[in-house]
Amino acid sequence: MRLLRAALCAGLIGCSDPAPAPQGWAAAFDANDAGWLMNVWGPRGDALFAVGGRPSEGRVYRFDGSAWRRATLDVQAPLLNWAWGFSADDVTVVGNGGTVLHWDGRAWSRQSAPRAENLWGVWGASPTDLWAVGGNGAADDRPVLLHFDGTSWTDVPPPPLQRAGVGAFYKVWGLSADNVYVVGQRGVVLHRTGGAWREELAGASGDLVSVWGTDANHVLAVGGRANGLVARWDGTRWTSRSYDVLPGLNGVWMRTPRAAHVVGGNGAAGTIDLDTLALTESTTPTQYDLHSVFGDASGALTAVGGTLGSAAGPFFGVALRRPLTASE
Amino acid sequence: MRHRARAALALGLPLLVAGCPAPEAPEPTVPTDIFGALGEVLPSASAAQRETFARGRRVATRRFTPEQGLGPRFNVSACSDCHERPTVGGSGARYRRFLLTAQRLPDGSFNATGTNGVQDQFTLGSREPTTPGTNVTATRSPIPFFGMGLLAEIPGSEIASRADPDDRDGDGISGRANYDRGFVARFGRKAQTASVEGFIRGPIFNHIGITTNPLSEEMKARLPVPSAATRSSALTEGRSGTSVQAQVAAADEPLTDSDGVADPELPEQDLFDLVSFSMLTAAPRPDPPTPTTVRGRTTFERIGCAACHTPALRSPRGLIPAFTDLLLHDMGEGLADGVEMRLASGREFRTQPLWGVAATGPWLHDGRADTLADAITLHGGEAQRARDAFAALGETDRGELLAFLESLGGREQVTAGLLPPDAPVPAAGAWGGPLPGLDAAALARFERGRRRYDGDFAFARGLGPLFNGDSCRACHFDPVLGGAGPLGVDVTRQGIFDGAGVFTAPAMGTMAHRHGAVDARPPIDARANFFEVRQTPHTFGLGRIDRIPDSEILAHEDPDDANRDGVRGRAHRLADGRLGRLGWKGNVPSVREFVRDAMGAEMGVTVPEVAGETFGATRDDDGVADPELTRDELDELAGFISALAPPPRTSRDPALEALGAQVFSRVGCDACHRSLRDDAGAEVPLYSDLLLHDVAAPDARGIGEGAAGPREFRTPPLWGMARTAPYLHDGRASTAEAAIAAHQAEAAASSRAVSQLSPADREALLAFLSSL
Repeated sequence: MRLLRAALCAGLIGCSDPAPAPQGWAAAFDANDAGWLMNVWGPRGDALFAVGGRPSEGRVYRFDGSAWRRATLDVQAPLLNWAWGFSADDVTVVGNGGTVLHWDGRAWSRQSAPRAENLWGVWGASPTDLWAVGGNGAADDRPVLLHFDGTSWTDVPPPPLQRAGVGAFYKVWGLSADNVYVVGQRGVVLHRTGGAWREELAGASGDLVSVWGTDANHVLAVGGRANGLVARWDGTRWTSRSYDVLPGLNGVWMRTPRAAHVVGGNGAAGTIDLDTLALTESTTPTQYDLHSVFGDASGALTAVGGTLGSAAGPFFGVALRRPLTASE
Repeated sequence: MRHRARAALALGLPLLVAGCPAPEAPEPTVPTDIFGALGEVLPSASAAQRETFARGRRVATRRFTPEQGLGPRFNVSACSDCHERPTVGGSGARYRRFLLTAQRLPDGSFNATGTNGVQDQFTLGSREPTTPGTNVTATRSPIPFFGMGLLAEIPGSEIASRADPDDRDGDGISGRANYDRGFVARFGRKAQTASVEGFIRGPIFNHIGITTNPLSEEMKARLPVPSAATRSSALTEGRSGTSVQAQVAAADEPLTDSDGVADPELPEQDLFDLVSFSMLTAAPRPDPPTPTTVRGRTTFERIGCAACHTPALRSPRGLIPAFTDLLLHDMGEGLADGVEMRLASGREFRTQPLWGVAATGPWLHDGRADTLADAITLHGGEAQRARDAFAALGETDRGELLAFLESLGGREQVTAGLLPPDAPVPAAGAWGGPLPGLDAAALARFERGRRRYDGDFAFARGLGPLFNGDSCRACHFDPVLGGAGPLGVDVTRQGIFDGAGVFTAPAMGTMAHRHGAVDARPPIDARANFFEVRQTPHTFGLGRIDRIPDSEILAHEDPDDANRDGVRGRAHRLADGRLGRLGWKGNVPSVREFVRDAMGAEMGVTVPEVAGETFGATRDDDGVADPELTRDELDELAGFISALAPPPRTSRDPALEALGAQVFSRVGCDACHRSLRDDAGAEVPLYSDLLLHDVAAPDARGIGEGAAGPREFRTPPLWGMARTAPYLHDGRASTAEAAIAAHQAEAAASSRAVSQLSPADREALLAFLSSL
C-alpha cells in the first residue's frame, strides 16, 4: 500500500512538483492545418524546407529566417517524406508512390523513379551521387534502394538479407560517398563501403527508422515502434538498447556525439549520449508524433511531426523549434 | 524510476481524479455491478451500451468469407472461432492453438516472422509456408476476454506501483511492467498491448486477414472505456501532463493487405462495436465463499500465489478482483518460449487473471496443462517457490486451493467441449437432433454419444502426437454440433509433383497436420510442393447413407460413359472389395470406419482392433497405451453419428422450389446429385450418387486417395447445403452459385446450362438448393 500511495501521488497533478519546464521547445509556426510534417532540412538557418502533407497531397513549407510559408509546388505529388540537398537551390524530396521532386531554386520538377513504392529517405554525398530508399513494408515486398548519378535514378538490388521479412528501408545517411548507412524495417542495417552494400547485424529487435552520425565512430540509428530503440556504431561494433517507457523514435540528428537529438511518438524528444547511450528527455508542448529533427547552421533545432498514421486522417501537423546550446 | 513516475502521470491522471487522494478516503471496495456469467454484459452498462454489446457480439461471431476480406493468410474465419470457450469471448481448446514464429539472429536480435509474428496455417486454398529463416516457434492458446474493459480502466500507475524488477524486497518475486508507446501495457500473454483496440486490430489481421483503420478520435472518445487523446490541437501540455489514457496507445497505422478486397475490410462502426463488446464483457462472477474456498484462499495466499496473482487492483470503480498484477514475471526455463514482445523476454509472461479460470482451460500460455493442478506444477522461475509449496501440500489443502480457484467465476459453465452443461438435445429430425422414432434407451445413448463427440480429448488420453482437432466437434460444428466446418478448420493435404506432373504421395502420408508438439509446427515432407485443403463436410444423415446397398450405388455407375451423356461416375472400390461411400474421395465404406479413420488421421487417437474394420491407427508413439479409444467409446461415437438425423428440409416458397427442382433436373444436376434408396427401399434424399466424378478444371492438380484419382471427387450430398457453406472440396465457393460455376469436366455442361438460365429459373434453382 505504501508503494501504491507513492505511485499514486507521483501520478497526480498537484501532488508533486509540476512537470519540468520545457527546455525551450516552442511552436515554430501554427502547423495544425499544414498536414503531416515528415521532415525538415536546410542548408542555412534562413533556408529550411519542411516536407509532408497528406496521402493525397504533398506539401512543402519554407522558412526564410523570419516566417514559414507554404511553397507552391509546380507538380502534383502525394505525401512527401524526406528531403536532402546541397544548397538552397538544389534540394531533392522523396515521397509516396515513388515520388522524387527536385528544387533548382526556381521551380519544382519531378524526377522519374524506377520503382513505384513509397520512398522514405534520401541522402547524397554530392549532386551526382544520391541514394533514396523505401518500400511498402509487406513481408513479401522487396525493399527499395535507388541511386541517382546526376542524370537518372536506377534501381539497385539490395544484397541478400539474412534478416527475414524486410519489406522497406526507411532512411539513408552517410559520411561520404563510400561510407553510407541504410536502416529499415525489422532492424535491418546496410552499410556501403568499398563500393558495395553489405548487411550488418546491429542487434536491433524492431524497426530502425532513422540514422545520423558525426564521424566514422559515432553513428546512431533510432527506431522502435512501441518502445524507443537505438543502435550505435562506435567504429568497432554495434550496440543496441531500448528505452522502456519511451515511445518509438522516428528522428535523429547530431553535431556532437555527446548529444544525439532524438524525437518520436507522442511528442517524445530528448538527447542521447553516444558513449553511454543515456537518454535525457526534454518536454515538448505536443503529444503529436514527432517524425524528424534537424539542427541548422544558425544553431536552432527544428522538430516536425503530426497526427501520423491513419490514411484516413486527421492530418494535423506540428513544428517546434528551440535553440541549440553550445554543448549540443 | 523516473520513467515510471512519468508513466504514472501519463496514465494515472484521468482515471483517478484531478487532485490528491484524500488521506481519509475510505478504502476502496469491490463494486457489485461488474459481475456476470461468462459472456454476459457488464451489469453497469447503459441501455445504449447493451445494444453496442449485442452488435459487437455479432461482429465477433461473424464468419468472414474471402469475398468479405478473409485472407490472404489466415488461421480462422471469425473472432469467436478461437474465443469460444465456454462462450463467445472466452478461450479455446487445443485445436485452436496457434503458433508464433520469429528469427533469432546471431546478433541476438529478435525478428518476428510470419504475419506480424503469427504463423498462419492457410492461404486461400493452400498452406501458408513458414518464413525462411524462422528458428523460434512458440505455441499459443487463445486468451479469454472476460472483464477486459475493467482491466483497461486500471491506471498504469497502479500496475507499475507493484513492479519490483530488482527484487528489492527479497521475496524472490520481481515483476516489471511492459510498455507500449509510453503506456503501461497489460493485454496479451506478454502484456504486450496497452489498448483494447490494438489488441483486437492486430489479431483480426494476423489470424483472419481482416484489415482495419484505427478508430477515429471521435469514436475512441465514445468507447465504453473512453480512449481519445487530447488531439484537438497540436500544442498541449504534452505527454506528461495531459489526459491521455492508456487506450490512446492503439496502433495508429491502417492495416492493408493484397487480397483484392478494398481496405479497410471491417468498417469503423463494426470495429467500434467489437472493441466495445470486449470492453463491456462482465467480470466472471465468483461463487459465494464457502468454508472450503475460504480455507483454499488462505492457502493460496500463504504459499505465495498471491504475490503475483494479486487479489485485486485499484481502479476508478474500486477494487477489481482479477487475481493478477498485470506484470511480467520470469516463469523459468520450462515455460520459456523464446518470444520477445515489447520489453518482455522469452522467459517472461504476464500474470494471467484467474477470474473465470475454471471454465477457460486448457491452461497456461500454450494450453499444455490439462488441469489447474498441472498448470500450477508447471510454474517455475519466480513462481518456483509457490509451485513447490503447492506440490508439498496435503491432499486436503490442495483440494481446497483448487476449489478456491474454481470458485472465481464460470464454474457452472465448465464444459468438456463446447456444449453448455444444460444444453438440451435438439428435437428429433432437427439440425443436430436424432433420427425420429428412437426409444428412450437409444436417446440416452444418443446423448452420451453427443457429449463424447463434443468433448475434448486430452493429451493424457492419447491426443496426438499429431492432430488437426481434439474432438469430433472441433471440426464438425456448423451450424450445430455434427455439422460442417468453416475454412479455418480445413484439413491440409500435401503431395509431390515432378516436372512431368506426376504425383507422388509423401512417405509420411498426405496429411499435413496442423497441430503437434508444443512449440513446433508439425513437419511436412521436405519435397512437398503441392498442398490441397479439404473442407469439413457435415455428418448429418450418415446413418442413412450407411444403409444404402452397394447395388443401389453401383446401379448408377457409368465409368465408360456408355450412355454418352458426358457424365461417367465410378464407384470407389476398396482393395478388399468393399465399396467406399463417405469422404471427399469416397474412400470410406461405413460410419464406423469413418470414425476410426478420423480418430487416427485427425486426432491422433488410436482405435481398437475390430474384426472386419481396417481404418484408423491402432498404434502410435505418444506414450499413451493403445488403443486410446475404447471399443465402447468407438461404439458410442459411431452410434451417435449413425443416429444423427439428416438435415431437415425447409421450405419458404414451395412453388418456387418445385420449379427449381425441375430446373435442377433439366440442366442435368441430377445426373450425379440424385436421391438413392436404402435397404428398406425408402428414399434417401441426399442428392448424391456416391460415385467418383472428374469435375475439375483442365489444369487442376489434386491429391488422390486410394482408388480415387487426383481429379476425382465423390459427388457431395447436397442436403443441408443452405447452412453448411463453404462448398466444394476445398471450400473455395462461398455461395451455391460460385460452387456451380466451378464445376467443370463431367459437370461442365450442367454448369454452362446454369450460367445460361433466365434470372427466374436461376432464382428457382437456388431456392430449391436452399430448401434441401
